[in-house]
Amino acid sequence: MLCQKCGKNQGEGTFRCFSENGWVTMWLCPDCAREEEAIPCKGNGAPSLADLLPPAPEAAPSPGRVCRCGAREEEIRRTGKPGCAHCYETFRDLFAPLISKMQGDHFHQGQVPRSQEGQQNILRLRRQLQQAVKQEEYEKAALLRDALHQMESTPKEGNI
Amino acid sequence: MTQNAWLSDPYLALGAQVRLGRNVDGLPFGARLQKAEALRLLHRAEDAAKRASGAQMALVPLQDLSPDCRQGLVVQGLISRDMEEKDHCGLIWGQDKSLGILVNGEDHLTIQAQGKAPDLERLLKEAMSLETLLEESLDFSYDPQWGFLTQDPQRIGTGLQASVVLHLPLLTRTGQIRNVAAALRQVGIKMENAYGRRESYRLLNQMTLGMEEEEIIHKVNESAQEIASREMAWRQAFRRQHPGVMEDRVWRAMGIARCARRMDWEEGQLAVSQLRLGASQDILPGFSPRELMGLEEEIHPALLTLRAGRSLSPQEEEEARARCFRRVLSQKPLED
Repeated sequence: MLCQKCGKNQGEGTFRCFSENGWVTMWLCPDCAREEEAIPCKGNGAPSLADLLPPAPEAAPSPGRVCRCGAREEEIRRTGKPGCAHCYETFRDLFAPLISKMQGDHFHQGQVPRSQEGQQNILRLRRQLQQAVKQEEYEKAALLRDALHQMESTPKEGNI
Repeated sequence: MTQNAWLSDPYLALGAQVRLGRNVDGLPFGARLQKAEALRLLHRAEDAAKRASGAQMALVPLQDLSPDCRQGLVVQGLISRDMEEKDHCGLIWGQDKSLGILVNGEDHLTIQAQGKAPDLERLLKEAMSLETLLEESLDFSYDPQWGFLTQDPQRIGTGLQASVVLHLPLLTRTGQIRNVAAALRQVGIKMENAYGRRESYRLLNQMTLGMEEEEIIHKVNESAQEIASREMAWRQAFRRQHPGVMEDRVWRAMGIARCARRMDWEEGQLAVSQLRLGASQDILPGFSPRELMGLEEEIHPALLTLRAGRSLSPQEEEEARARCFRRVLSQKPLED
């Protein structure tokens, strides 16, 4: 069936157009539909309010995790810089590869705050034990295991 | 001279510095730190420093100083460049300005010790002793895996930046300096231009995690010794291959600096570099290392302005700089 507006092209669908007589339904070709800014029909009635309103903006993307200092995940991904010390824990999965790239896959070996000495010594002994077992240095591993056991079973200031 | 002794040459190894970065637990970093929190931190840090030093240290809030004064502190290596225009930061020091604490700089607290190049280990001990004492009043952010937590992940772990400044005119002029910098990068040492000193470079550690503090110091020391010995080898080779050329260039620089009526900053820095080379090679008599460092600081634009007590036009600045040179060099002999 030919387009009801131009009468030349084949019509392709039913559209609602606003004319001087109000809303009318017409069979239009794509060119005329575009020119009239016609709305394709849904069902058989007048266009709904949703059809007439401009498209709604897309919903804002989820902010992701937020640290207590206010630093957002997106910001950390973009800058690689923490907003506070707690960011290192909140976004540990983001900082781990970054630190590994900058500094290698290393653990802290230097000075330890007095309050953390006991805990840090235990962690270091555990790592040394793992290393000794990996390298099949079993005598050394046994000594480390005994030292570790002694340390873990003796409550010291800084362990608690 | 043996390789290890090059660092004792004060015309070659200009100085050393140790910095330990620490952050107070529970406070945000950088621009997130509100003004009130920043001011409170300044006073908390001062109280902690007074307790640690037996009231020998006091706070200088940097916002009480003029911009030229702040720049002067940068020239003297007493504050870092990022603190030049920052609000609510300060410097805590005692009579001995070689040991101090920067507050609200790169980190909440940066403990800083400065001295001669061969004293890097002693500077580390002093900085770490002060840090241990501060710990009695302040809780520092710490992670069992990553060590001391710094505002830049590049300093995480020990938070230690250990550096030596070397004067390397021959390595610079022969174009070797780029190769040197590339080789140092391979072993984890950064090389930066020393601020306000042409043909001088700061060597400092790149890595701060996974090594003990003493290991880092040893690495910086070893690298500095190797580069210093290369510089001396190039100087000796140049004098052997081109007899009289170095003497001529040094004395020409002396003549121009002694007589010029205007000198821009770049020319002034190059003149000091040439005079320093001359003094190191026993070509120019009567120049002490301290005198040359003093001259280098004096000719800085900020210090010329401070001395004049007002802004200087470019011409006035160049004339003032030339007067500094004439004043210092007029006392020096013109014969070797």
